Amino acid sequence: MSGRSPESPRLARALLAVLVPRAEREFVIGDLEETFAARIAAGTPAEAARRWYWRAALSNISAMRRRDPSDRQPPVKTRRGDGVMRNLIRDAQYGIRLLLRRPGVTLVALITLALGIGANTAIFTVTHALLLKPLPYDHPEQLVIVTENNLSRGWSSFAVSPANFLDWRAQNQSFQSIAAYGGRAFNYIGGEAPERLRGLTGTAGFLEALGGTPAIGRGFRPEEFEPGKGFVVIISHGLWQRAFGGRPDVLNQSITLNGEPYTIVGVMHPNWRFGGRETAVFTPRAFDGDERQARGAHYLSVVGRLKPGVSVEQAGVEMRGIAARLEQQYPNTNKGWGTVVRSLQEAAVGNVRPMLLVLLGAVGLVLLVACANLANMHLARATVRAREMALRTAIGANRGRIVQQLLTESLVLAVVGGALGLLVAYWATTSLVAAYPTLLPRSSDIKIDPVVLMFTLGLSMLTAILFGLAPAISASRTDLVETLKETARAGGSPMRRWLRSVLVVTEVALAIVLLVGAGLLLRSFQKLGHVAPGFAIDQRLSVTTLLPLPKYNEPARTVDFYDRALTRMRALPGVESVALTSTVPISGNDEIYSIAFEGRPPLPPGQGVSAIYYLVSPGYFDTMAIPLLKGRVFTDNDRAGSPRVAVVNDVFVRLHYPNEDPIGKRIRMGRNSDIVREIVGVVGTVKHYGLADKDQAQMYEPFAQMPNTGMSFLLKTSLEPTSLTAAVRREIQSVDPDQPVASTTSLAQMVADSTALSRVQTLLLGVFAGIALLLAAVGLYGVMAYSVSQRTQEIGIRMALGAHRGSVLMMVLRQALVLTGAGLVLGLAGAVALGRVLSSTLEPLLFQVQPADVVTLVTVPVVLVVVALVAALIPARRATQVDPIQALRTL
Amino acid sequence: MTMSLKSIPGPSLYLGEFELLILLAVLRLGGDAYGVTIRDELEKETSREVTVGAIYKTLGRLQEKGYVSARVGDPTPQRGGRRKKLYRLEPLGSRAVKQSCADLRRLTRGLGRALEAL
Repeated sequence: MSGRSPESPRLARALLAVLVPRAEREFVIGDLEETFAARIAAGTPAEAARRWYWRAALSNISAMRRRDPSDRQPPVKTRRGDGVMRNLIRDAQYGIRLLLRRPGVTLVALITLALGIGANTAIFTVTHALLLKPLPYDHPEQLVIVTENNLSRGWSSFAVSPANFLDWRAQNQSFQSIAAYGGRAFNYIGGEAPERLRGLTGTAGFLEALGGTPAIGRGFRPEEFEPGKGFVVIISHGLWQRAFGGRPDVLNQSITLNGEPYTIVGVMHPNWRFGGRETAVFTPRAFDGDERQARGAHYLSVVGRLKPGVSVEQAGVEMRGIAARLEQQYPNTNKGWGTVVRSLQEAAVGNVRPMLLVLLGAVGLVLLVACANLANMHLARATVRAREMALRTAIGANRGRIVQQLLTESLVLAVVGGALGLLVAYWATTSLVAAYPTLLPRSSDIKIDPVVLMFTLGLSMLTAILFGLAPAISASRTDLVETLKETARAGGSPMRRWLRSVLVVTEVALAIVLLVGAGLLLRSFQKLGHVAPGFAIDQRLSVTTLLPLPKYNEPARTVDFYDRALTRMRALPGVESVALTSTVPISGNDEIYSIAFEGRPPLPPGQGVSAIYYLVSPGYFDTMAIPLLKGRVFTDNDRAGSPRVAVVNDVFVRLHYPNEDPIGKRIRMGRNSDIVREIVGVVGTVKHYGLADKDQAQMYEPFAQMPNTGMSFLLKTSLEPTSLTAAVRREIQSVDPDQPVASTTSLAQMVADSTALSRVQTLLLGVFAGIALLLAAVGLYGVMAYSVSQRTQEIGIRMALGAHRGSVLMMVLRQALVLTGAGLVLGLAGAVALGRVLSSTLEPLLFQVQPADVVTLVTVPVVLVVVALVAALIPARRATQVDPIQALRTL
Repeated sequence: MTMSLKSIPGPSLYLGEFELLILLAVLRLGGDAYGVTIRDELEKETSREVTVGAIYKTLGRLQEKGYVSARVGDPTPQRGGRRKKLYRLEPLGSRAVKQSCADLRRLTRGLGRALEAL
């Protein structure tokens, strides 16, 4: 939510404007608006006030429309005109009666529609929330995220260095304001237990650009962005309630964060969000002298607000120009570095876009299958109702009138189905968000709102036309005399039979496309599951801490803290070994440093090499079961005073020492480029960014030689890892009672989280394909059953003339197989096209699977043919049970 | 029975209970009687929860009977630029209120104990 005051629900207002009599409309709405504003001003949460508004609007409408006994008016005489509306209502009533008369068929139709429309509504709800709905800030189209990139090193988006940011800010013409920010965690003491708080720290203008003005108190003053003067904090509404009981005298109170006193100057609006999760504290970000010069260290995020009228593309052009100038000016640090400007909206949803578009396409296909099925049912019914239509025509109905009547009936069905679909969508989206709360960005925006309602209504109508129009037109084309003749056989016209076959073939083809898509994703997900991460994930627990700097600015103190904590944890029952690392693989965090090789000429600017960097304690490789390939791993003897050593992985060796023995070679790493380290060992590669990650160069340094305050403990346990969480927390606090634990996760959970997106899209596409398959089977069954019932006499004659039951069975099954086969051929062609899409999106959805995957392309047709045979078997068996005498008698 | 009406000339000025409550609220509010204030007044002083819609509807009827008159006030920003409809008692309305209240007073006279015991 932005800082602007909340608005009353637009839809409720629109309803009032339509339903309150004109004479009182302005005054009633005005009164509700005034009361709404008063409630907001009195501190009612926006959501509660909106709920109140809805209730008030509805009860007002009902109060004003209720007939008042004291001023009863004479009933309005119905006029003869007004035809369209009256016909519509009458047709709808008739339609409802028809539907109720055949509850079984109606139920099947409604389930079909509910699934088809529900799946579409659900996926649309998510797409709308993520891709279409503007972000909840003022003029969200002006907000952009600016990053650096270095394409020669394969980084399409990278964090920003402070000096570059300062130059951008000074030189650009495109932005109203541009601000750097970063997450910062704070250890907070003062509550019941030490707690770790999520914080954001931004340069001047950061909060203002995002509408983050405090609800109480003030924003930061310019002088508070100077080094050493930033000990002021704006706290979140949540923290205010939790830690200060919502007391109004919280302003100017002191709060201890990371062991230092901060003055509270403001409380944020309750609904204001940035980056999805709630941020508890905001502090000003200052750059000291050294940092202002730092051009090679990239760690800032940058958000900007464009000037009105400046497009994202224009800003991009200008920023690329600035980056090119900086590149010339500072080749040593900036060679190869450019900038990227992306809208905040795009940046916020990033990697889920291809998945959503594929799913949107998939549910569209499901709905088409559903429509084909319903059209089929209607065509069958049209045959049954041919006499009714003929009668209507005979007593004066023209074709248009009959089409209108049949379409209205379809509409009734579709609208009821759409309403059920809405329930399905509500259930599906809420359970998806509940099951994977962190999977989707902006998940609080995923809800069924007026736009979704309009979408569903529109879709229902479109559906009605799709499945209702062809049968209606076909039904209106009745041969009057033939149909009305008493002796006429109720037989479908050849055109209608042909149409039904086409529909079934279409259904089969669409189902194939979906099944192949789901099959490819499933295979891809399986492959992902078989990837060896390069380290053990079972029975491993990761526990992250962050020691506050002022207290732990002595390296010796830091080492002492971790040593004592390690000793205590080792003694815990259920713990087999413990180690430290600065970065846990697959956690989403990384550190990358450049490398310089001793004895080789320095690399030209822009062609530097780098590797993922880990700071670890001696037991790390054992605890993580990372294999040692050569040399040795770190030992307790690699201490502060001993020779500096490093361990690298096999990819590092392959890239940088292809024909040499790496052991004994000396390198320098990034930030401590004056320290030379000797490579003492080579270990296996770990998948750092996820299972689908390509193997990357990695290097390790011993913790004791470069103590750091933000380490994670890794525990190898003999018990269920998370069962040790409380014990580990206790041990940490027995070493330092003020020290909170930031997070504990089992590595298995971390890996599962990293593949959750893949799992969900596979699951969803699988469900959609399953629905399509089921519908296609039902459609095929319907056509075959109908065909058998139409051919009862023919079959009877055949059997009377000596046809075997077996050959009758085969005759029906053959017909089903012809339809299925035609659908198969068409479907496979479509499926190959879909496979191309899946593997060619920006972030390919397929992992190690070809679009024309043989396993999938063979399995799916087999499954489909089996299902088709099962669906056709029931009518085929019925055909074999035709009694020839009975069949001939009715001839 | 007819005694009570004898003193008041003209036609019977019958008021429904809700009508009486609304007229009393209008009277109490002086020049500032419109949907929101009337509703607040009723919710504050009576045991009822009412909607402004019901209030306007009843006021419309009272206006037709000539008990109240309405004028349109100025738009305010809190109302999204919409105007208020302000109501005022007309002489006929004042008489009706007076009469209803007098009826009520007479009917409750001497019932103090009995009412409390209910």
